Amino acid sequence: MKRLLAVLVGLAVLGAAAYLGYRAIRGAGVPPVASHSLPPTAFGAQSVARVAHAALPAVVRIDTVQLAAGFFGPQREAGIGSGFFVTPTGYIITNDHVVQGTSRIRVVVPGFPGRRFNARVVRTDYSRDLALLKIALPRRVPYLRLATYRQVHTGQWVVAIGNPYGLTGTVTVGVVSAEERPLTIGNRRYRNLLQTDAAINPGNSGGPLLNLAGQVVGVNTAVNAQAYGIGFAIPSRTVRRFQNGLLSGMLPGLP
Amino acid sequence: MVSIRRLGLFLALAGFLAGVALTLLVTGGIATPLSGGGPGRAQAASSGSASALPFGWGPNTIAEIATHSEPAVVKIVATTRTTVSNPFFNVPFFHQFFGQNALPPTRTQVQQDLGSGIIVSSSGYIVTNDHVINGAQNIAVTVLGYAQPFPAKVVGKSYSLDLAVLKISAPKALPTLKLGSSSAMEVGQWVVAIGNPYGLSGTVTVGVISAKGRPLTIGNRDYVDLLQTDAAINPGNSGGPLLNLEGQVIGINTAVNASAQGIGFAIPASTVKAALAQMIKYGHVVQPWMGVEIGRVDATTAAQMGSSAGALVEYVWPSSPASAAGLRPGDVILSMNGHAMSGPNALVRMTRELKVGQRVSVGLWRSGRKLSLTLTLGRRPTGISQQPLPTPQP
Repeated sequence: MKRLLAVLVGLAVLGAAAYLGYRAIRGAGVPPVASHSLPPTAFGAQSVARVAHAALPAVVRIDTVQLAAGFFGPQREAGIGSGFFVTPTGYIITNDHVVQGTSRIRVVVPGFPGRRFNARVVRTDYSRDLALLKIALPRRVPYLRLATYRQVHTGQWVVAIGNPYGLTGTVTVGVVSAEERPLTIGNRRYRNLLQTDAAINPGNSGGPLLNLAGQVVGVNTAVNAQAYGIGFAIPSRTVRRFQNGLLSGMLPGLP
Repeated sequence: MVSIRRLGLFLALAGFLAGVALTLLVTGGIATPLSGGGPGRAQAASSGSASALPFGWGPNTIAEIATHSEPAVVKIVATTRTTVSNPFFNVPFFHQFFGQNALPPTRTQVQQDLGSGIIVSSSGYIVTNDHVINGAQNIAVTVLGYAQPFPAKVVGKSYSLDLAVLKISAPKALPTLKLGSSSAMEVGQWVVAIGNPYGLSGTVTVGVISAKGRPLTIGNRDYVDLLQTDAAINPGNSGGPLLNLEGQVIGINTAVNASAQGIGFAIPASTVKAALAQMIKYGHVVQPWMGVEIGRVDATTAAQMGSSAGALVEYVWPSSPASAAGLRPGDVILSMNGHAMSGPNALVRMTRELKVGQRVSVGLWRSGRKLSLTLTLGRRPTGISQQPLPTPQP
């Protein structure tokens, strides 16, 4: 039993080693799980819990199906990512790499147990690695606001929410480790990522990185698979530029 | 007790190599456990402010909790000797080659597992994971302040709950930790893990509650209600405490996703509380049993029902309470004692909270009709082990 475990650990290490370098954190796998900006407060024992409580209802799971070329012809590959509402009417921000090349996108929304909403892609931006989706909801939902550029500082506490390995509604905590990190993954060149030590894993892609006021400072996007505690997020100002013109006028209070 | 088919939580990812996404029990399988010289202990600073939290909230809060709690966290070394028969013993060819005595018929393998434990009574009762001590012939418990480890005996255990109670005899009263309320914990609240990862005695790590009520299947064990944390958990942390800011045990660190970062799991204190007295009194935990194997509602049934809520009955054990009450495969259990359930795990959780002999009303969906049955919970036969079949999500 223990020997088997050791062998499995060995396999895992080999697997990880074979998958060197950075990887995009779209996950695949499975599973279940509710608003607004909180008033800025001093850091306290309940700070993270308050952010989690306020933001969880606005974070969704994105299930995708991708037709990939396989040895025996096209194969369906399931993927899992995260996203968050930026309007009460069902507009969702996520990563482009979560939805790129997928044939079907379905969204699991907290507060609607057992339901999956078909999503329409409103706009994608390959170079920014961002996508805007829309789902039709029977009622208004909680949404998240974007922090301004000036509200982000190295060393400040941040909270990541997403669906790592399908573990829906996972909350992790850390700090902004650095700003303005350039990074190349495959063909994508990211220019100004936030770096964080909050635990980020496959399936976190597209989910929010929040400050303690519950505002989105970044979109969790990549992780250094070899390292421990080196995750990356697209800063909120890039998100703002991406959605500019799309959502303005649609939403009171959203720039 | 009901078995359930699991959700394939740790499916290998698209583009991932199999084996990367592994969840491990966090016992350390080390050959030579390190001796207990823990790291330098943080000096407690007095908490200045009067707060609802006994340790206050400030730069030294975690240090104070660590200083207060570490004496009640023990290191457990479980030694298992297994006799392995030599497959070549009866092959004359090898005797010819190596001589008659070169190949003994059997040889003994010695395996040492390292884990953590929590002293819950000053008389020496210790809570840990069953998987730390399972099968061990010799259990040695190292307590802070004592040079020599104490021999421990197993007072009680539960395989399915992955809990065990040990007893040691110390010359004087031992420091203890209190079990707190895991149900009162909220996602995002700070937690402190203490244990012996890789033999590093008295390691303190910090994180938050990432989620609650997680189901997880590792081998034959079905966990239904785990706390998830991003506090660093590693092999050797098994059986150690996850503490709240009041220094109370709200979970027993149990498993970790080895390929992930910051995804650890703990058995909630509520489960420990319910099982502790039974383990001490009877040596095991008497678990209520319906006698059904259940899984998630499949797509066809969900389409007919108009919902995917509830637990689909896949098999009914003969001569079980469920069979006596008339439950059939294909039924969907929607509620128990009037409490609606979202899925199979909820049924397992609810059943565990009830008692053997208790009468329960079960709300069902059966081929388009809704009906209600009453059954009397039995005692889970020891012969029936849970054998979950992991099913990938469509």
